[in-house]
Amino acid sequence: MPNNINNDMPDRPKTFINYFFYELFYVLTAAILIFAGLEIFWPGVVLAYLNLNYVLIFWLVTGIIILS
Amino acid sequence: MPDLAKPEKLVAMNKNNLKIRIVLWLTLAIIISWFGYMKIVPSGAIGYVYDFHRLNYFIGELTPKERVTINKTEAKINGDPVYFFLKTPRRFEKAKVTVKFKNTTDFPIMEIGLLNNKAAWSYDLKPLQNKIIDQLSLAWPIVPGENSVRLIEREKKYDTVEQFLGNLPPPSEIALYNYSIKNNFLLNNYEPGAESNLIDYSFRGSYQFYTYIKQEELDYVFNFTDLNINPEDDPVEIKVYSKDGEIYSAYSPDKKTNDNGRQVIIKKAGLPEGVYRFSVIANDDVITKSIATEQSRFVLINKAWLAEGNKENFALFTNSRLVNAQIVNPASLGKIKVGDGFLDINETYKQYSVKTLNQPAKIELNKDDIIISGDGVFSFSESGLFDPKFKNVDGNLDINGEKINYVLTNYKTPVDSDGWQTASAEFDLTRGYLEKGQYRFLISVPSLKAEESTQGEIIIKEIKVDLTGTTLKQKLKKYFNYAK
Repeated sequence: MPNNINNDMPDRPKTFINYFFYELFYVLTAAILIFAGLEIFWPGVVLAYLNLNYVLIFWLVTGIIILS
Repeated sequence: MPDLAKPEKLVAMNKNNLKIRIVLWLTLAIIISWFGYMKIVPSGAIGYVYDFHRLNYFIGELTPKERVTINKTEAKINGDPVYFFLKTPRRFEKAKVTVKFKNTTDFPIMEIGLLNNKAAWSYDLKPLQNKIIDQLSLAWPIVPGENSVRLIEREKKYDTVEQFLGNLPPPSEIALYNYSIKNNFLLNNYEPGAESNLIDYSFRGSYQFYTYIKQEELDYVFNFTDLNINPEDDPVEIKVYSKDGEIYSAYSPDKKTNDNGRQVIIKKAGLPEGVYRFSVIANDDVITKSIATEQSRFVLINKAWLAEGNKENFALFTNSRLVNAQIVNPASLGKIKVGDGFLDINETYKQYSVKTLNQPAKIELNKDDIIISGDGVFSFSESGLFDPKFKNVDGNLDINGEKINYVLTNYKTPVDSDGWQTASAEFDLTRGYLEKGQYRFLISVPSLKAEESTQGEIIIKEIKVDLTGTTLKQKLKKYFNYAK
């Protein structure tokens, strides 16, 4: 059984850093969706303080890192 | 024992992963909560600063670009007026606008205003700087009053402002700035007219006028027509004011029918003798074709757009010390005689100005479709000219020439620090015109023209807006009281 630890979790990140980016990607995805939703209902609530382009770029970079 | 260590490692890793998960999601929750806090503003007070270093979402850029030069640290104003908008995250009641500026020009007045009515394009103007009062304050004795009211007198006579207000000297000796005195202006030798009058001149858009009644009914019948150039609604609102405030208002909605004519009748009996101010608020699609009235006095205040289709070769009389004219129709280009001078209007959309040496001055117009404005009133007859207002301390006032002995003001001299001056003005946002979540402000330096070179410069260093309104607690209290 112990020999198959890696085989039990074939898609899970194996290191702390991997896991960090893996989770960060999810958080950023949620952030983009929530921020976009907030902007639809209350225009300016996010854009007044934060440029969503930077969040998108950050999200994209995180995505590339976890894929690589 | 590597095989046994693996599950321990896995447990430790899972613990760390859980920590990462909690930290990241908590961070997102905190960020979203912070956005919510900044949107709701539970304390009911928030401030924004625009220092030209970077764009501010809440305080817009100064425009139009032809009248302002903006760099990374400041904005130089080249022409009058310049505008900026204010976005608020929610409704607020008051806005305190603080401007840090430098004015090394000869233009003595600098004001800031909030747009109150878009159709009439009227701004609630508040002072930023009045160099005339600043200089007078250094030379003449000052009597301080309540709430930063100041009486500046040529020679020491009054001990308190209340004493001055209780025993007013002749109005010709008084000039006001950012202050109003409720005086009962009466015309000597006025007799009500026996016949009804037809003011057979057309006016375009909004305008204001004074009329006078004495033991007679206030009686005005307005005939409007709609040009329908603009697809938007073209309502007309007429407000009547006595010296005590608004006494009557009438509203005529846009009927949207083929018949473009509309009539508004205002009749009110039993009013005391005195001056009444009418404010006709309409957009530029609305033409006042004619006005029928029982009153014999009719003087236009500050500005009127004499519409196309008026009589040819007619005259206006004014007590304005500076008369301005502007046209939008190329067919109206030409010369206008104003007193002893001329206005040679050879460009559309450009404002031309001339000073009148003697008042009243006669303005001879041989074409219509002209916007005439000035710092006084305009009448179609010299005998009918009257102005109930006190003189205003502006760039056209000659303190010595006009024998002004008293200046009463509620203006605060800007605070000077490090070569910059800071002045504040408070606005009631509930009376401001709100469009797409934006309030519109202007900064005005009367007579400053972008196309003319000036000595010195006007630089804005910073615009700060402090908003105050109901707190979340007050709002919830109000809501639950309402629900009960």
